[in-house]
Amino acid sequence: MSEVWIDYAGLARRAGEFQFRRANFAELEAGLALGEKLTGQTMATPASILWIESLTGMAGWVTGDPVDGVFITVPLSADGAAAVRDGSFAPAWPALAHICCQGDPCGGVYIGVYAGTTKESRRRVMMSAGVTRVEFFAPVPCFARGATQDGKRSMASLGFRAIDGGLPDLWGQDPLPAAQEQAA
Amino acid sequence: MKPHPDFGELSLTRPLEPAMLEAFSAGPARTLEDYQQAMALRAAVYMAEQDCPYEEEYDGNDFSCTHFLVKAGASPAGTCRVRWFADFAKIERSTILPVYRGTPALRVLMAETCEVISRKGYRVALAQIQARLWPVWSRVFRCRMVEGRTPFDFSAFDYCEMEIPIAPHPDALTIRTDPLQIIRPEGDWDQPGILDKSAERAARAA
Repeated sequence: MSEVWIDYAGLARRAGEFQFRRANFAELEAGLALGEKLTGQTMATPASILWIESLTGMAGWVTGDPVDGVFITVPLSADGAAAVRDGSFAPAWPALAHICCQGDPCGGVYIGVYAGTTKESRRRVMMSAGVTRVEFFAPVPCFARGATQDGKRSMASLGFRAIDGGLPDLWGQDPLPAAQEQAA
Repeated sequence: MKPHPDFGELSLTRPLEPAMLEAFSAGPARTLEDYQQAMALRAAVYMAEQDCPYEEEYDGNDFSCTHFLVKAGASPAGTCRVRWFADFAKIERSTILPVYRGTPALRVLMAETCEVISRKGYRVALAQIQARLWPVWSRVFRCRMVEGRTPFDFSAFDYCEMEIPIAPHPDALTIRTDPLQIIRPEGDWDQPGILDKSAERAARAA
């Protein structure tokens, strides 16, 4: 199974180019409330995302002031990527061994939430998700849940496909081919 | 009603359920009565059950730490103590009476203990655990065994070190926290304390 060393500074810089920033607690509260409203799904608590964010250094991203877009992405350890596939990964309360703590090798990425309230914020969410996926996490698989039909359509457009046997409504994207990685 | 330990429970492998906090309550020992209960629990478990010598159990650190108690109603069910270092807190002497083992008492105790640790601004806790109990503790905490350290033993047990990430508390106390808030009783920083009332008295006199 492939792993990648995360370039945290580069990731923050690239996300910043799409006007995303790492969220503080109040921004996570606002972002997750926004995500719940748009998807109709119950989200992880802001405290839980803050815990993940504090350990991974890259989980909670928001855009806008007030927040009008949110992007929650959890870097996984190799064990975590396997846990997503076998259904033992708990997105709202992951085991410590399943997340990629800052400075550890990353074995996959789990996208928890991506949502925006305006056309512009949705565009920024999709662009930052796509670009960071290709530029920083190409060698590892990427996972997400298809919470809504819109979400499933957008994932399909990014090359995700439904995965059976893991978490409910699990979608995934295999590591990207080197050519695609280099072309990005 | 005491607030839910939203940040302390993040150190646990599973969130607390509301019924757990109805059955058990936990917090820092604040009175001599609380302290005596903590010492009685430890005498029962460590001295009676584990045959620990008195002078090893009461090791000279009990007046330089914060004791925590978990109670079932008014009955003491368990205890632990925390010693405070510059950039980590150390959880020690974790004890649950036999009758309360297998109940949520331990989880409630640890969630409330970690809530205080988090509120004080710490980001990691250390625990030295009996090596045989790693399977138990790793089911309680989202934690990791400290790697690259030589196992050690004392009081007739093998020990290892366990590191517990502590959630960052958005309202962590800092050196610039409101002066009256910071002098409230440990763990009860969001309720006006007796000294808040004394400040009102001084204002009235002026």
